[in-house]
Amino acid sequence: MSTPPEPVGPPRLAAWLLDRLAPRGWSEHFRGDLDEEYHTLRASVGSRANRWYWRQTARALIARLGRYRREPGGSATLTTDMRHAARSVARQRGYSTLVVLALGLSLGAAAAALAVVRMYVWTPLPYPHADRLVTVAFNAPGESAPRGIFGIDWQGVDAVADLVVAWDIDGFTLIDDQPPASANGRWIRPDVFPMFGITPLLGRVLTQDDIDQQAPVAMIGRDLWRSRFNGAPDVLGRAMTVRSTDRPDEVEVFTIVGVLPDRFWHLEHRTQVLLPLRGPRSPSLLRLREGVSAEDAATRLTRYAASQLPDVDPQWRVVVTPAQQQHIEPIRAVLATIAGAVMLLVLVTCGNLAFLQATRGQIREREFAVRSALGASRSRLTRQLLFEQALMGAAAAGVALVSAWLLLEGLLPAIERYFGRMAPGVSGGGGALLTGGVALATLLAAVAACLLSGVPPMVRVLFGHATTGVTGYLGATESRGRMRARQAIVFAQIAGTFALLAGAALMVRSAQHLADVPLGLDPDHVISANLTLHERTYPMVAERQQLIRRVTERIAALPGVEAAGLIGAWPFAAYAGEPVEADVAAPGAGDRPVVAASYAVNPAYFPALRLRILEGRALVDADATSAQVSAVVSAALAARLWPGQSAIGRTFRFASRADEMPMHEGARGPLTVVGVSADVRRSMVEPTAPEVYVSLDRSPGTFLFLQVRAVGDPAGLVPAIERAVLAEDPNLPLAAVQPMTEVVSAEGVRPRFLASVLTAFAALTAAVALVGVYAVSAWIARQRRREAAVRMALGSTSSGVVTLFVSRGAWLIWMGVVAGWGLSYLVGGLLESELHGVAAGDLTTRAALAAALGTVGVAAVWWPTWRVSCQDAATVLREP
Amino acid sequence: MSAYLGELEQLVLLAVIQLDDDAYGVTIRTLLRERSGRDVALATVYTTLERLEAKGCLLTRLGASTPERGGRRKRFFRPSARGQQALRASLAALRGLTAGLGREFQP
Repeated sequence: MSTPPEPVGPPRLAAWLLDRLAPRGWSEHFRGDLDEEYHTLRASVGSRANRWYWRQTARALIARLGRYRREPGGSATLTTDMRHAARSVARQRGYSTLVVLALGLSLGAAAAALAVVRMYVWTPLPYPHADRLVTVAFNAPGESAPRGIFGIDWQGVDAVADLVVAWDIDGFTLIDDQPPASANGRWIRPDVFPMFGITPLLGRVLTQDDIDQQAPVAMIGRDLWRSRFNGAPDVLGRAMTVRSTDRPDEVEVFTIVGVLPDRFWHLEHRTQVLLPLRGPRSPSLLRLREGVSAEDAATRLTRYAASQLPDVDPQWRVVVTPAQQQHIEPIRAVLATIAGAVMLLVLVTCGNLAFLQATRGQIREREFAVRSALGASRSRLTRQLLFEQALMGAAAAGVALVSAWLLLEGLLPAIERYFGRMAPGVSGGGGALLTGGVALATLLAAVAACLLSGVPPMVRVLFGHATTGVTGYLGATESRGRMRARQAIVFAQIAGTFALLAGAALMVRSAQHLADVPLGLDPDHVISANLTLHERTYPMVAERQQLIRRVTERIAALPGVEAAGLIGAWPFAAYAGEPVEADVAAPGAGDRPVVAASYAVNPAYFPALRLRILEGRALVDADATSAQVSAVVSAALAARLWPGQSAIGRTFRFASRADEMPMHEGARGPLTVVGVSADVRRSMVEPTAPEVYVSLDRSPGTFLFLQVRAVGDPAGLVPAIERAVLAEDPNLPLAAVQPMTEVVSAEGVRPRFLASVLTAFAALTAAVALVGVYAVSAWIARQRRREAAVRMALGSTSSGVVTLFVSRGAWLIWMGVVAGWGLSYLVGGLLESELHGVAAGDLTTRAALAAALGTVGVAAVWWPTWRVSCQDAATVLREP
Repeated sequence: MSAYLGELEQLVLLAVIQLDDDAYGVTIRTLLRERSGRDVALATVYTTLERLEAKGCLLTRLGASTPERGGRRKRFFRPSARGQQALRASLAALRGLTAGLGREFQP
């Protein structure tokens, strides 16, 4: 027995759509006809009837759209509304351009900032299981690691991590038939390759076998491959002869087995040589096993280390930090500052946009009232208004995306240089940062800003009595209510703008302060270069002293050279120094240990960098051999050790334990202060650190920095300096030759970039704000033209009218300034933690801003009033 | 003055006349397909009918429902006097313009 066939109906979704969306008045008969034909078709062609039904549905929906266009009476239609809106936007050309440009440019800046923040902060590092990567440190910041911690057997770390990367940072001098060159590199465990997902550009990566067999193989960076091997494809298998800083008396030959990919930033972007790690090293980077938290790992590693080192301080702990956090921590403050500045900009723009739209709403009340009186429906007017705003929003989003793209394309290299880290996961230009998400957010923000600011002002017109709008304009003066509303708009605008601009101005001043704090030395006209003395050639101090003297004499004798300075450590290294104590503690010196960085320099270092001596004298040649060890201390150190007293002639010493070497052999024993130097700024935010200068000649190391001051352009001296060095030792490479100004800016010591970015943002913010203030004030004056004309017709003089109007307008504006002044303390309070060198309550900034804003506001009232007063009163009165 | 008719309007109006008492969406569409070879979407037929109705060329009445229509009623169409006049005028115009055309335009 066969079951009766299931009743088959047309596709349900299509039927549902038809019931709801088919043109009104059709539904019953139309669906009836369709279903009837469907059943006929179904019987002959089977399920193909479904497709037919869908096609018919689509046609019906299209017909609905078309019908919208041709509704009987020819009035309300979608496309007409859109056309109307577009025409209306085009008619108010000046206004629309202002809104689109102001909103577009601010949102463009915001989108660019958002893209940068997203890339550095929100985007996980582009590694497999990036959330499990952690860095390991054995000392908290400012403390020292327990002795012997680096020497223990770190096998135990395998219990918490499945990938363990350890390295040994080293410097390499390449010696072959070309002039010697130096490169940064690391001896490293091969776990680094799977950890970062590194695929070599050429050849292969290092393997565990390389380590086990102590294979003399190397991977080189792309820059080195290009500069040293001319980018030759057959570089694999070639030999590289080097001397490393760690084993300076050996010449080693490595076979190149691979080239690192472009933009290799994972360890440090200057890394150019990777070699298999020799011997055990403490771990630096871990990929934790699944389910092991950073906290967990820290506890277990601490316990493990304590079991290996019985006499470790029980308070001591291993510090485990998620790699992402480690990556962004140093730039978080800067990102927050930029984000804050952008937020201010967007707030000012949106605020002013709201005021502009409110004034525009009042101007257009008449238009809407007339149209409404002529029979346009509320929904029609609302729809058109929505289209208008959406159109302007979309245009603003377009401007925003183009400007953001240009900003990112142009600025990404500067951003990367400034942050000192490459943009993870970006391979082409910076425009790639403008992801779909960022673009969508920008579009939504732009449209929302327009809709939110543009529609509410019209609500009263749309839903109030139509006649109010028409008749409201016929009076010579306005109703009290309208005047109050208008005054409130101007007052709130000035107050809000003042507060936000004050915030922007404070941030600019802070950034400028950071950029302008004296460096303490003068990097102009100075060439910096590294010199690495080969330890085997110069094993004894005496030989190094001789070489240094000969090289510096030769360079100093070159025409155009003013001084040839030498310093034994990179002046901008993040080197905290060691504790020092005065031999006789001065009263008021405090109990906290003073930590000072020590630098070994030659006497010419002071004139070469124009490092000022505030008291006493600089180091001289005789200090290298004198019985007492002379030192020049920085003003900061003098103030800490001997507050309120002269430091000259006093003695102090490094308080390191006897078994720990101080930074320089020459700094052992008591040091006698012979001079006090100006403070040198070593980092962006921290202005000065206590410093000690001792004579380099006492015990020169092998790693030196040459700092040559030229009379004129230092770049022209470079070949002569190179020749002078090579004339003394043909195997001595002169590396990292660059103007000192570049070093200073690359070290981010002076946040010029931040200052200029913030200044640009603030200028844009101020421009938007001033245009907004002007537009609103001018609109007010225009509104009162009729009143002015009546007064003049009744016998008032034009100057009398101007005085009356301007004095009232000025009063309102200055009230706004006063209120804004009060509000600005709130904004300042929010920004306080990001401000350096300028108080959150700074009066000068506010006074200057008040003067500027008040003047512009009053001028904005005066100008249109003056123009009205020049017109013929009768003409104005005859206007509709 | 009679209304002007577009080409599809002419065809639909002719179909309505041919179908006499049985002119509704499905039959009009079927007749158009069979006699003129044009497979017109039902929505297009409806739009045209609506336009003709707006021009005063058609009269409508509601008919009975059938089970295959899901209980929905039919809407029947017949030409109004104005519709007949408009059709006469278009056909006269056609005849006037087609008279004397060469063989190649003969059906």
